[in-house]
Amino acid sequence: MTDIWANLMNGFAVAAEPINLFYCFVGVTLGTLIGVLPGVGPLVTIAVLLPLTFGLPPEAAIIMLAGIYYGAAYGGSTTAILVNIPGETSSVMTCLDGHQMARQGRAGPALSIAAISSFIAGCFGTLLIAGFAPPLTELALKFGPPEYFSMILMALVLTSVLSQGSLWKSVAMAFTGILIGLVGTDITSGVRRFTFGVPDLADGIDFVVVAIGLFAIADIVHNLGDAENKDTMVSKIGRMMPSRRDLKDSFWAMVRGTGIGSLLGILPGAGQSIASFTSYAVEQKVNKNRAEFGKGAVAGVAAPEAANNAAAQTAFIPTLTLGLPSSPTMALVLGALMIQGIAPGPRVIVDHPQLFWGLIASMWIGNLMLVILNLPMVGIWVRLLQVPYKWLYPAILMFSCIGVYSVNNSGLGVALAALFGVVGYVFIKLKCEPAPLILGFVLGPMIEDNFRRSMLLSRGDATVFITEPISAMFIAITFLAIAAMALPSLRKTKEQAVQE
Amino acid sequence: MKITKALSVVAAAAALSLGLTPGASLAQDYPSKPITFLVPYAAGGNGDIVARIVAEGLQKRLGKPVVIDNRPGAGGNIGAAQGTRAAPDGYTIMLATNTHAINQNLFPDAGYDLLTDFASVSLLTRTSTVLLVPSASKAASAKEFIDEAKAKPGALNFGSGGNGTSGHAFMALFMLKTDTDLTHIPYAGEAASYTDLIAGRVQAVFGAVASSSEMVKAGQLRALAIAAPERSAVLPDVPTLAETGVEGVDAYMWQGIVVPKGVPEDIVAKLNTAVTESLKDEALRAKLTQQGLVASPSTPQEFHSMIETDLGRWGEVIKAAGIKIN
Repeated sequence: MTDIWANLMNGFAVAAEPINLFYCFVGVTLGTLIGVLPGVGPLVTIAVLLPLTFGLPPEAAIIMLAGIYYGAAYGGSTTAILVNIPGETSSVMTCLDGHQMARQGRAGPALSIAAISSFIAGCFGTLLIAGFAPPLTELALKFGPPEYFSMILMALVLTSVLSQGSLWKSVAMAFTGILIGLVGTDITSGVRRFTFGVPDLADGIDFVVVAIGLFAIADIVHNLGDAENKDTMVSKIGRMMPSRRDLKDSFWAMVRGTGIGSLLGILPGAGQSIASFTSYAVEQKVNKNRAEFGKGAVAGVAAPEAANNAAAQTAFIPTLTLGLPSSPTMALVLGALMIQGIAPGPRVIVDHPQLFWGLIASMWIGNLMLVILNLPMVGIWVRLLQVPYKWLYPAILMFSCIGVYSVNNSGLGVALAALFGVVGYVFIKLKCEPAPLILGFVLGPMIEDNFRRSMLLSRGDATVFITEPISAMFIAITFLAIAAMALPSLRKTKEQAVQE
Repeated sequence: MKITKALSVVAAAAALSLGLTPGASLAQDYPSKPITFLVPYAAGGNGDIVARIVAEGLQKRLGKPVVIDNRPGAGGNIGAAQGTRAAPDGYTIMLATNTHAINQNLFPDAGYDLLTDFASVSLLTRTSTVLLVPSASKAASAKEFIDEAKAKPGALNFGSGGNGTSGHAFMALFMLKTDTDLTHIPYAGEAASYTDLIAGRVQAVFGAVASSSEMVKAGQLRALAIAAPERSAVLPDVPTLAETGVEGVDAYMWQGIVVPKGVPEDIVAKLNTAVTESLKDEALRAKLTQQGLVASPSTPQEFHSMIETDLGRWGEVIKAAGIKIN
């Protein structure tokens, strides 16, 4: 334990050097701004700014890139709450209650709660990296294809009955999402599915394309067709800061979200999005205000925000201890390290303690900067909702198009987003929630991939899912959840609760 | 209708001024504007890092900015297909790699032909690949591994970054030459396969030295043999496959620069000189070496015939191993 403190102190000494503080600030500010722009994610930003880091010392470079990474996660929730656009998979859940709160004139508290949960979760995640990176890596290695399959199955089942609406509609939407997720090259066989011979579809449809279409464009079309909402998006803006009751209502959601996020974040590839999905689903089952979920519950913002930020921090564990990127963005951060002449891998902690501990300390400082930066900004963001809608929506559309285009530098994405906009409008008219579709879209391909890989590894023996202990545990939880849903008595109370 | 016609006239005029003016006058003041370096991979990936390091050197020698344009997708096919459509004026250069040579054999509709659609400028770098096993593996040498694989055909698994990727093709070549049979487990990218290799769920991966050497040095993976004619500077203690008695598995990865067919020869020569000089730069070489890349500049002819050999070789392997995309 004393070692950790000594190391952390060293880290803070590095992170507090003026040049590193400066680049940390530049990183988080840029990240926040970029995160706020719909569709423009950290991946594009880091890719564009990568050459700028070549001339910096390695510590400053990685501190700035990391700042962009978690700053963007912060900024992303602002867009999700204010204009209902999830910039990445992990902020889909924030949209559900966050945007409802904004519509009720409670955008201020929603944004503040998001910032506070992110900060608390981020700090906890940073502590985990500092103290338990090696054992957590061991845990991550215990997850093979069967474990991933069962875990994602559990997440999908837990979240399948999202907030309002009929069960059958959300199941249908989830399956539609899975179908859209199937587009592209199948990893196992290399076959291109549903690509219609278009090479640009070979890698599938990007999340940003679907999300911008279903959320941003469909919402704009709907709002313009809606007589009430022609002037501004929100008629009144209430208080900026959360009330004592808001804080009390969201406290346990924050704690649970942080726990779920920290654990799932260490799993390469799946962690961050599943963390926010699962934490929202868990709150929906256990929170005392669960009846409010989907209608603007403050806990429905706190839980996924805490989960996704905790996961964003712990995602650095496999990246730093194994040298294996947990997401395309992390791959870029590793690329930046390599260009700096540092080989990312298990020996980074020992060979470059300055860099490793400096980064960890800077994450904490960066999180603090984000809160200081964002809480005063809340007022400015909220006032954005008072901008006449006729000015606001062309701006949203333009930035959305830029964001979608930047994903693959391809015009096809923009056209597809427009198509999803039309589809999304039809869904709104049919009262079909887009969230289950997004879930199916994100999780469906992961489930398929891991199922087939498990089958290949077990040579076709399906019992592998219940003979592996970790996998068996997830399957058991899944069945319990299904049983709970299917039990008529429980079901009735749920319906009553929802109707209240 | 009128507008489209006017546009096509403008486009034709532009094409004329760009492509069809006599080469000599172009080459004299080449480059007079920034050069686009088309990289058919995502920013931060292996090929991208090579391109960025080399672009820095080129910029210095050509006196004009060299701008990286990442066009990822379909394993490099989308960017390469786009490269075929670029104006052959020397202002678009493209990164070509061994995956293109594999893909071209694999996808009948790849949309490009390295030999007929492009002119070779120079090879840039080579990366050795290495046969990796988990540190808990019983096999201490390539020979022991081959014996183990032969004792139980089909029982051992090997991971790759996906069906038809270079890791898959390299292992297919290895199995052909050693007469072994391992079960293929494709992952979404090479990095994802390493997690299961470290944990021992798959028993082997043919990986790039660049991406695996740190895990080997930290003892999480064991490197059995380098699949190249010479040892790697990054893992000097690991013998080559030839040293262990396995011949014919030279599975190195390569990266080079090509330009659309039709670029005047003196511009190609100018580019080649700039590449060759850049790769002589000690600082630049050091950056490449650190990544497990070996700077290997060549003449355009040498690069061209290397591509030709590689295309033929992967064609044979893919046919013999029955690798198919469907």
